Amino acid sequence: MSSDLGQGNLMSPRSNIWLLLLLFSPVNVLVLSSFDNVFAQEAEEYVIRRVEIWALFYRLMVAAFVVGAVVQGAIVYICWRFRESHKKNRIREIEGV
Amino acid sequence: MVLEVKQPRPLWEILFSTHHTDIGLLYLITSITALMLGGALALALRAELFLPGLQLFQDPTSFNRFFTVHGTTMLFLWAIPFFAGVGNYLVPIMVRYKDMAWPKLNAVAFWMIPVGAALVWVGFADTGWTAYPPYSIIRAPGPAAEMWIFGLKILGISSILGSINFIVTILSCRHPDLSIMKISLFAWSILAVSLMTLVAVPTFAASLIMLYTDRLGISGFFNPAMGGDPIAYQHLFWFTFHPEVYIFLLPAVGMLYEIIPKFSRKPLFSYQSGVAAFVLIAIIGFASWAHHMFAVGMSFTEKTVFMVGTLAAVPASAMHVFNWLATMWGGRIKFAVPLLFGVGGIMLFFASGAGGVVNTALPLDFITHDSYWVVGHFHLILMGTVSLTFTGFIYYLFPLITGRMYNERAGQIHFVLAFVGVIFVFITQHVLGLYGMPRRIVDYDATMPGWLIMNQIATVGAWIAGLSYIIMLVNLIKSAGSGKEADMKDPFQIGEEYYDYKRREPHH
Repeated sequence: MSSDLGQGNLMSPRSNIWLLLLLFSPVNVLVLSSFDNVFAQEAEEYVIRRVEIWALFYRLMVAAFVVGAVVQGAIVYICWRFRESHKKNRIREIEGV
Repeated sequence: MVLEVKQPRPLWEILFSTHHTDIGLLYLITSITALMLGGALALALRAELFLPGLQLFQDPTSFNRFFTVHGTTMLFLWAIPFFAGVGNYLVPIMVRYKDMAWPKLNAVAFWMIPVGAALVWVGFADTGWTAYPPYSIIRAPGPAAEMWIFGLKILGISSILGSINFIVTILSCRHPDLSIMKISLFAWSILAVSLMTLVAVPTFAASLIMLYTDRLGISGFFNPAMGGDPIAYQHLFWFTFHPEVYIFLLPAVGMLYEIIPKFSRKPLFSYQSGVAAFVLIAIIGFASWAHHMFAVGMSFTEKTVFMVGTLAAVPASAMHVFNWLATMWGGRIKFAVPLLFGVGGIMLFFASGAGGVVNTALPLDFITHDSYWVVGHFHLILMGTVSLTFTGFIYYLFPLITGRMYNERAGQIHFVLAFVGVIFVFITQHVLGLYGMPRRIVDYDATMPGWLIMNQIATVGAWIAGLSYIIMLVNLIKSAGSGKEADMKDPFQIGEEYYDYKRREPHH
């Protein structure tokens, strides 16, 4: 059983590392491949840099707005749900006390 | 405690005092005055750009003078003196010592600020707050440029003296029962920025001397005609001033660590991660200066190193944001004015951070470089996050300083107007930059798509934000004289002990 540890088993104690790698690999591939296009210098490789750079900009903006929506959404939800005037947050008098 | 306003004393007694609360009060009054003056300059700049052509300014040089003094005032006379003032008030209380380590040195550090401010304001230089050569050494009119150089020199020395005092107070004067891992995170933030100041500022101090001798013509460090290199100045400048961005930011982060747990009525989620993030940012802040200079012709390798160095600050910043959100989660949050500003600051912290990631991705930097995107980005962090948080902390400390409460409704109106105004100005400026408008121009071509309307939105936003700060000023002055008396044990009625001045138990 111990041989399962760290060998890609998502339930293993070291699975967090693999999950992180899994999550970040597509992002890394996307960003690094884009840079490669932007800075292509090989002979007979024609790149319209202006188009490539703006394409990269829009891709990163999509990523930024997705992450931003999650973070800002979390802030708004926390402010709404945990405000003292929320019905679940009001101090209730305990009967008989 | 202090209550200087509640129990008035002769003015000279406060002016010549070396007590940390008196010096703190002087710092705060100076910095709020600078905020108003620098803000007035900003409103004039925005009013000029409301329409194309020249309106208020007769020539571009006057416009340049205004944005130079605006930038210098906001950074060196508002942001730094403000957190130094708050540090003066709170650090000795937090480390339970009777005063700062060297009270007279503390007074000297403060009194250098009005001198530096006078030099900057009387000179009214036109070099831009960066004073890049060769313009600043060859063409910038004197004596304004010389006065700016000496003004900055004095302000830099003041920062260094203040930092030494904070470091010694926190490390050597804290109560023996108080280990370094038990002091508040605000004190940690002041310790981190003080150490950063000691490392960063001497470089700029040296480059100011070189700039001055270049202007005199006795050296040519940055003068291409004498074999010098203007790019060298940019390296020296940004070695100081990229860390300086974190020097402005970290005290605001420390203040959020004071405000958020108290108003969430919950203990901080993770003290250790807060300390770790402060230390990480203090180190990483020095690994990213050249991202301001991607367009000067560095090699691809250099640019990549500084891009990665800059991005390395993102996880540490994210640790702070996560810490705040996790602290608020499950709390019973009281949205008093200080917390409104705190949450507004956090929301804009993310937006400005995302804009920074775009700047530092080196292909994208070439789109945004020297455009209004950059203006929008750094104003969003300095006005949106730093200044809004500082403003929240003014309200938070108001009972401590005056013994009275401010008007809550006026404070709420201030927050709404300031938040909306800041978004109108600085988010619009990001888009304006993408539409190609360069920074630092007094006039623009109204036929360019979007430029006119976006400039007008930004100007209206600036007026809204300006109005909000006038409301704050009236509120604070009126409440200091005739506001409701504060319950000094718990002025915000959050069930938490407020700062207890008597608990310090002097131990020397």
